[in-house]
Amino acid sequence: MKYVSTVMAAVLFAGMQSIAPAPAEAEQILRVGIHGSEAGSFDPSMSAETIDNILTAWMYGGLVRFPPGTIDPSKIEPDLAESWTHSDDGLVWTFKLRPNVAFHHGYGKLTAEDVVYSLKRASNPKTSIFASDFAAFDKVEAPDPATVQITLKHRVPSLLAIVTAQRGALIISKKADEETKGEYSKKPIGTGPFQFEEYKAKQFVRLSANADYYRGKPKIDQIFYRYIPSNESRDLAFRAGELDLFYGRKEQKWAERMKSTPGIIIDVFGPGELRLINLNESMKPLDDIRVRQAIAHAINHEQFVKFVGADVVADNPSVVPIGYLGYTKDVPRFKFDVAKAKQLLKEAGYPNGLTLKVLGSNRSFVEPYQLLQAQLAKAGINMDLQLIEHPAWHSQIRKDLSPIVVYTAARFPIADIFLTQFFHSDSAIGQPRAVTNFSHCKAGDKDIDAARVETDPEKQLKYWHEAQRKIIADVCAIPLFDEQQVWGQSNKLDLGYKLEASISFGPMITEKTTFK
Amino acid sequence: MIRFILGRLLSTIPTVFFAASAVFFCARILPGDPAIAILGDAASQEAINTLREKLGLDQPLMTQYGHFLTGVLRGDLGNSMVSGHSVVAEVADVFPYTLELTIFAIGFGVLFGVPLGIVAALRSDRLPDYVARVISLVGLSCPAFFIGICFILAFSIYWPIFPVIGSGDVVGQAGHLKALIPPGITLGITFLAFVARSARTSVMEVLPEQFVRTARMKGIDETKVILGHVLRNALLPIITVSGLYFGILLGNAVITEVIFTRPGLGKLIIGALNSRDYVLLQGLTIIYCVIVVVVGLATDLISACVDPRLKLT
Repeated sequence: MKYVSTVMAAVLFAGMQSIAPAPAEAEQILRVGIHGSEAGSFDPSMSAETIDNILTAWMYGGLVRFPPGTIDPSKIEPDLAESWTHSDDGLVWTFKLRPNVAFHHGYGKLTAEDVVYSLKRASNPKTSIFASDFAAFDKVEAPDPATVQITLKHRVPSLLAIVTAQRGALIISKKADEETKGEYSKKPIGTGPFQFEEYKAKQFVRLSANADYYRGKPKIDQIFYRYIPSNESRDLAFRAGELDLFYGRKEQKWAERMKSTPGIIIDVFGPGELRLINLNESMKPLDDIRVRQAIAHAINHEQFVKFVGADVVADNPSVVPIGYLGYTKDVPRFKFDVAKAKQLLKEAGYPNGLTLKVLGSNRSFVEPYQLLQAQLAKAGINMDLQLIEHPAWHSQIRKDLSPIVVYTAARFPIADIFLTQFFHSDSAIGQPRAVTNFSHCKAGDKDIDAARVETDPEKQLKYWHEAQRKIIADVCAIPLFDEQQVWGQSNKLDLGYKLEASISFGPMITEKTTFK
Repeated sequence: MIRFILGRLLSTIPTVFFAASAVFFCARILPGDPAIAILGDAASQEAINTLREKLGLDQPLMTQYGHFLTGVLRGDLGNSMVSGHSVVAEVADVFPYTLELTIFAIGFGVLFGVPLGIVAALRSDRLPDYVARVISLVGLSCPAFFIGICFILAFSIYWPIFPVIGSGDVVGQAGHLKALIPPGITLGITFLAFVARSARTSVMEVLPEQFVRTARMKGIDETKVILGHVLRNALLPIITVSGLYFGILLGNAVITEVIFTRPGLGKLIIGALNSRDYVLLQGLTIIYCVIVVVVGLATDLISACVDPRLKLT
């Protein structure tokens, strides 16, 4: 077959090489390969998908931002705002805007009115899927064109976190939005280092350098952001020299195999996505804490980290991803002890073990599920696993149809958000404000609530730490590990900063990013 | 003739109706919620409910079905739930890519498959026949994703002749054609195998016929005998098989488009399925139905041209 293909290719298209396009110009073009098959929305308030968030992070700015390469909330720095102050009670925040910030494609100078418009739009459930992030906002006003004032209904853990450049907090052009009448996605106008040029449906997005960018003209002239859903095709396209930066795979095997590719650097960075085994306390037999404890004792963490790969995951004993403001690793840990697990099951009335029917997604964690099954089986717990299609799984677990939900997630790096969405009883499945509390946990409610309004940062941290300890003691969920982001890049590409973490889940391309 | 064509087209209406209805209900029976797919996993139940309302998914099933049917009757296939663009526009965007890919594959298959089949038949049970049979067997038994990856490894990595990313946005016509070759051959190889097999069988059936012997006895040049007498009579089953195979070709195009990163109908339907974009799925089903019916019709018309004995009734 190979021979035939060779002959045919040769016969059919000999000489094609000579009319191939001319080699690349002096222009710096960055070619990125991403795992999705098409863009969702370029409207920062309308997409929670990583493939969109990575792109919007290059196109827009926020009032404040994380310095490129980090997501440490204590290092938040000025972006569109050059300075800010707040009232003593922490309810009124005043931001002074940086002068002479221009919107892309001649949409004029940024004014306080654009910021007010953007933030109001982001807090409206009709125009934003992140409206709940801004629920504490009472008023957003522009006393003068260079000043924005935010008044809160009540104190929040961190106002700066809410307005940090990402997702709904990205500032858009009021004029552009009004022109497109709600179809903003077609004409995304921001203030970031790169501006939108075109989207060729299901193929690529092309961005060009924003020459007026307030931190200086970007060194990269153009970015091609290609949608390449097949994992193998991205790897091969990089090997063939058609990509400079691409989304990798969160697998040890992949990292090891790709390391041998000439010219590659494997980037492993945060935020880690915490893999949690959520145990549904509202269902039999998991409503009995002894059964939950038995499961916790049956799990061998070391084996898990080794199985998935020490290069791409980090062991995490807590129920909040590592490094979040409010994270602690000082939490109780259930020792791997099969005998103890069996004993607990016996006490709970299951001397012969028990069977749990569990739903799993066919798209993630497929192999580790087998390890989980094997570990639980040793303790006499038969996990009857049914792998179903990913979208189906997402909808079934939101109907309490699986007693165990193995879920991976990262959120804004402040403990409050993660704890609230996964462990506060208001977010439990079936509640009107349900999010992802699959375990129906309520053990941490009081501390999560107290931390939210606490003015003393020290005390606030203590509440968050306490919440983590209580949630683990109640075995609402068993944390496995944090899965890092894994990308591949050409060793000729210099990002211009040290990549430790990125709030968009993809590397930031800044004005300093260049080819060596 | 025109009456025949019109009749055939009209008879497709019930087919399309049943296929579209089946997809309408099946898609909704499948668990999975377009609202979650669109909003992402961090979305609150509130946001999900708001979007469901906006998409009309909160209405009773039969009401939704009614809307769908009246839309189709008016020639309106609706708007994609995810992108918000009209289904027709979504399809029009990518259809040329699928069209050129399938045409290339068919051309490749016929151009190489027919000669291969003829040679195999003429030298049956000898080396050329064995070679042709092995090629057919490999072509029929290797899935497109395997052939595609092999092709990329060989001709993009080992001998870097073709690009890995096969979308048609590269510079110039030459680049465009070049990007079309690997997915075209990948898709065409199975078709080639199909054509070669049916060509071999039907040529072998025609070879012992009396008119072939007569032609040879008259001293007509062997090439003329094969091309003018044997092939012409053997062509009919080949055309029929090719027409029938077109549906399979569309199916294989789905995988080929994903591997070679090409836009196309296949990628569109996979995306629609994954995000539970009911409207796009329904629209695509109708379009696929129409394509298959039209190809079937074209096959019959071509057969009639090739074989004057056939009557179109």
